[in-house]
Amino acid sequence: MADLLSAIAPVTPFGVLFVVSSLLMWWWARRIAVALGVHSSHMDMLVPLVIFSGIIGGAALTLLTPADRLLAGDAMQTWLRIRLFGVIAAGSIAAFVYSRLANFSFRSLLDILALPTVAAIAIHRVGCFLAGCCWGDISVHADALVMLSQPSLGAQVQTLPCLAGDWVSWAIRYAPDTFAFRQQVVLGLIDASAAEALPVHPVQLYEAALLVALLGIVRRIPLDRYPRGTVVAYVAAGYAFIRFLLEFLRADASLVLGPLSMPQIHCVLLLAAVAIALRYLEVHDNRWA
Amino acid sequence: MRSVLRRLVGLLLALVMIPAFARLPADLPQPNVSDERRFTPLLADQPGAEPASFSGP
Repeated sequence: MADLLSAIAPVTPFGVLFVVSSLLMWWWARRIAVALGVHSSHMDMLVPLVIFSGIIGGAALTLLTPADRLLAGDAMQTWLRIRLFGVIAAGSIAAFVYSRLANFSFRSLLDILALPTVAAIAIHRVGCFLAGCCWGDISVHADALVMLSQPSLGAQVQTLPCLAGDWVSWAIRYAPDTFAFRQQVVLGLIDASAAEALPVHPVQLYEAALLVALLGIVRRIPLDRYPRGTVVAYVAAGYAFIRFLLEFLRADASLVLGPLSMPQIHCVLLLAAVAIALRYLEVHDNRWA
Repeated sequence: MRSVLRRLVGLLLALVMIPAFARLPADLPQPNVSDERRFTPLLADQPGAEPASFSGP
């Protein structure tokens, strides 16, 4: 697929899926807005604005959290990442500013954007899978892991040994020059001349599948029967829960607090924020109908 | 008039973003890997020790 795309246009599979996910988010947000009696032109401006702001916020979050740039201790670092929680935070701020300028309900805007955002992330994860970023833990029992000079690095690339073994037949082996391959070389788990990396969990596809399931569940919430903001609260809680668990199967984030990575700390903060928001929604019941 | 303006702004943003995003290789730029600082399993550092092995395929 990569060869075909590069032959016809200077684009990448990751980039194409990023654009597709953004366009899907835009289209779906318009549909939901129209169904709720909101003029579609609000989404025509808001969705690109949210995505643009989100990218800047996602990059800024990495700059603010240096520990999140370590892919294998300080031996393998990246100078920039686009972190999803930064995207969500900055996108929400952009939506808030827009809601004030357009004299619109902030909660309503978030409700409209919630499901399309989940759909976009699900497609985006397929792009991550193809590009090899956001890769998963090593899915075989590697004896050398327990002998690493920094035990936390072994725990980073295989947090749950009970979920590793030959039975993970669907594991993926990335080619040389991919992030997973380089990480394993740096850790001394494979030789630089190896034909491919040790198999890893296709955690990007796990996330995509779980997000599709989340969509199926949250879509059943009738927007007009609950206070505005309920849908986005449930979506945020659902995503934080899914991501928290899946982080145990991801190998791309250093462990910063015991067995927890930075995104898991963000998940906990997000769940706390949702709990507060749901309490607020009970008190300030403002429905669509 | 305002709705036209909103659509125009959104369209302009999209026209800037789509070509840029379509070329993204991944959400991670090429990492900085230092061979000198490579982590080697402790066993491999010990005289006479067997090289690191894996029980998996």
